[in-house]
Amino acid sequence: MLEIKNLVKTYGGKIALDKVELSIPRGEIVGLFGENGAGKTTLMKCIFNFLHFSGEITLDGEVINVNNIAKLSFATSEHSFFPDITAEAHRKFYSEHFPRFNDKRFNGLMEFFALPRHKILRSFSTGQKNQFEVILALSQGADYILMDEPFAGNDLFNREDFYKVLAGILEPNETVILSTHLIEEVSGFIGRAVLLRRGKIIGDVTADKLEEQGLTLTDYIKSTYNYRSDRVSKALSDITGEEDI
Amino acid sequence: MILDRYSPPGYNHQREKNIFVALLLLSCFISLGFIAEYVHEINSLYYYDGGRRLLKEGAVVKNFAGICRGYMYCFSVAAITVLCFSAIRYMYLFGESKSIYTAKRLPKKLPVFSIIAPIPATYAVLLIAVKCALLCIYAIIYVNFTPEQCLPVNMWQGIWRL
Repeated sequence: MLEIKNLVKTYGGKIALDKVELSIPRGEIVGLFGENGAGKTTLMKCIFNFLHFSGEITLDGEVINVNNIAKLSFATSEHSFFPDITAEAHRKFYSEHFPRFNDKRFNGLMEFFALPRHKILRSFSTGQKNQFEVILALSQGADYILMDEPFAGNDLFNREDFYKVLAGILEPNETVILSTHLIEEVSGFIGRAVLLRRGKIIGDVTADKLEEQGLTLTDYIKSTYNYRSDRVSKALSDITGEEDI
Repeated sequence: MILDRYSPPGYNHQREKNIFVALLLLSCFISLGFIAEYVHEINSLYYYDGGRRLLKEGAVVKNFAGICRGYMYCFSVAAITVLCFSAIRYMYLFGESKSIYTAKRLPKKLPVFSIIAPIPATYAVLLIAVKCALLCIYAIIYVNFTPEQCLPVNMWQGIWRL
């Protein structure tokens, strides 16, 4: 269980995360949604202790430290690989530092994405870099896989195929926390949606609950965000001076 | 290889090593200025009378630090320069990719520190060690090749400033 209690993070005087409370048991696939600047990336970085924060974050009952940090893996749109070594060198590095590194999964995903093993990462395209970032996160052997907008720059077909592969390879006790703007694409893949707005959790719903209520994930997010359906027509009317657009 | 083990993966530690070796050799070469200065000092103790080389009455050489002058400062400058490699190594982790996120997640104690500080610190220590060794050699030369009566009373004064 990943537990976050009373998490507060400020940048100068600005509150980025405001008393966030969240519990994520093992085996869940959680979509983390929110507008730009909502605090999704900050939340993930706090989990890894990349940022100073107040509050408590525990993993299976223990504070996250060098003894249990290997249970967490991270795929970020900023990329966290070493750009001047090859994919194969990364495999060796991860095998050396993460005892539960999954060679079979790594090799399978490298083949699925058709990524070159012996070219340095700096020479990969943006889409390839994103794919490799995700491969490392999934192959590390972690129990909790955090992915922060990992598919930026990837084409639709690659993304859709990837969700299918991901759903197929995940073990029942593997947890995925996926931050993305691609709501409709992931709605069939995730089991739970957590909504962040201005540093606060404003929504937390399971896929089963949405199905019971007959709502799509987009409907839920729009209603939770108090999305005004006339905002587009109003904006166009204001800009062009024409009515009833 | 030790340099691989204590460097960020993919970091060009060979170039760094080449710079260290170049700084070491340059510092050693510059320090040879002591020899030139010392020879000049020794020569200034004598005068020539009818083809004979005679010691001047009451002539005294400069103290050791005075002869070394700035010739040994290059080692300290080089040591400070190689310590800057630590900053360059740290910034490498923030370059094209934020590999600092991986370095900070490694499940071993002090992993970030171990790939940033030890090698540059070792280079700095080696430079200072060579400086001290050369100072010892030059001090031995100074004491043994200077006529005893020409050694100044304050011959070791200021040596700490070297």
